Amino acid sequence: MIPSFLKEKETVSQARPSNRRNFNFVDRTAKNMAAFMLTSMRQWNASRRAGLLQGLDARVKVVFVIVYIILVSLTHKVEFQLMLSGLFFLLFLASKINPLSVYLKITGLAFFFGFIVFIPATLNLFAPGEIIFLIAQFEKERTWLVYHIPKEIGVTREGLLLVARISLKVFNSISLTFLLTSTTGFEQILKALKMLKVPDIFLLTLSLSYQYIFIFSQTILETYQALKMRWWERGARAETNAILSGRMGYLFRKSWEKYDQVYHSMVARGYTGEISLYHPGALRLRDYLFLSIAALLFTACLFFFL
Amino acid sequence: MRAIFELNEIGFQYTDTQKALSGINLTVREGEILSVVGSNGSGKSTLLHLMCGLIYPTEGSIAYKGMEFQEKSFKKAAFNREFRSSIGFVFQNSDAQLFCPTVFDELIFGPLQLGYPKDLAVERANEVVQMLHLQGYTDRPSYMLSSGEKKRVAIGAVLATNPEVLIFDEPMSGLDPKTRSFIIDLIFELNQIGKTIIVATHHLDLVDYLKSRVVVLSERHTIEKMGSSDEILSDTDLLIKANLIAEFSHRHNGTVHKHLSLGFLSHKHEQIRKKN
Repeated sequence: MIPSFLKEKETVSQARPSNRRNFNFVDRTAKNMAAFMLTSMRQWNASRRAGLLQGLDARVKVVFVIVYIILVSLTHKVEFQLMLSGLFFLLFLASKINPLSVYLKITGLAFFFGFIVFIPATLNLFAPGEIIFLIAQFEKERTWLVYHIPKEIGVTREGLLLVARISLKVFNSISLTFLLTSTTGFEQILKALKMLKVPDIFLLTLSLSYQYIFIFSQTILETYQALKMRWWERGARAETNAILSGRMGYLFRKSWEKYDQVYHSMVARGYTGEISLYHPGALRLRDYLFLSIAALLFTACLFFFL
Repeated sequence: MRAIFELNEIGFQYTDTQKALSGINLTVREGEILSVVGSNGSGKSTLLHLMCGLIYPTEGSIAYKGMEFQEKSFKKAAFNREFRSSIGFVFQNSDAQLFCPTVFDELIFGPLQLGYPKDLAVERANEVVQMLHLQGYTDRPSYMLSSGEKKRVAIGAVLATNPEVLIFDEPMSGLDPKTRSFIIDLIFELNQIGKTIIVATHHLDLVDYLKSRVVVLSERHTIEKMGSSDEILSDTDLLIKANLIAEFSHRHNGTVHKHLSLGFLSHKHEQIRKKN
């Protein structure tokens, strides 16, 4: 029954053709998938800690985030944006979220979308003002079509303030989003959207999509681990392409099967074309308390800083 | 017998709060069968993934044939080739494991990886087809197969590379009795020709059949006990503690009985109350 080759010790060929495709992508994909699942798990864990925001109803947090994002965009004073940053930092601490890891991400995003994107605005080419750092000097100013090149080009005080203001606004808006997603499960956020009159069928579709991303990430991770176990050499391009297209087909088929199963499960439980999700009941005292404090602060900010 | 794997104070955490394994000290010797048992979520699969170098410990160290390995060890082509060709892993989910267009492609993939000329690789794949009774399926895509057939193809795909160590993750899950019995016989035969076998399972009947050395993982993700299968399976308190068996009551001929959910242990029918 057992073939003779299994009874002998395998000698692995040491020489393989070198003009083959490198398989670092197997590692990279597996790592990315694992990282996605890890992030989701960390987020889920964080949303279940006994912190200030975790104890609140998701609807309260969604309202808080929306209203404060409006407040952040309405106000132009740098001191005010700094004050809000301080408030959000305190909320992270009160919600037992590790500020180091979360602020690294927030700062990175704010640096790119706030600072890098708007850095040309520091020049007097876009925002006229008092030059504090001279970059270039010409003999005379020039105008070409709608473009005006001044005699001196440099970084202006007004431009710097503008970029600081925008960067802080981006920083605060991202902080608010992180406050919500770090302290609230994705499903709770979806349910809270009902308050904004989002239809149940749309919420259910979003929820299913998120679940499938998670389930399929697991499948993709397992697939790549299996590849890693049996594919330790470089592969020929045709071989590689055949395997990858096969895997894509497999995922498509799995998605289709899952879709069928979910539909049948819904029909078996009485689905006739209309979806009605369960939504949480009344808010608790602490929710009202938090909303009241947030509303008071919001009004005070409008009164003093606008 | 020399040590194939040596695990020293191994710990693994997925996140700060999700511990999967803690303080694992274990040696797997060449030519032995080792069963790793534990309830769902006890860390069996994580332990196997660590041994296969698919994930890396967050605490402690792990060595393969005396060579300690970490993630960076696999960047060295020689180690990677030696390790990956010596360790065969049969995943729990055969669907994820099978990635080639047809069954025959799956079986020939390994020999071609080993650098065999095409005719020898075909010969080897055909031998695996015979051994696992896969005649008639070779030109089919794996998704057209039943669970039992997929499992046999997954095992065949691994065996075609002739690894020294075979690691099975829950080999019995979702299989019919005939396929289960076939796999048990196969594991025995492979062990008899010198293969080292590691099996993770929560099916105690498999442990009983294999008569192997057994490691019991607790729900606290530590090693609860190690011993022979007879020693472990006769320790009812241990099995209950590790959530491998449970006491339950049911109706039988008009009488309510209670006994352990373990078929091969003495089936005590203790009468607790008569049916009205």
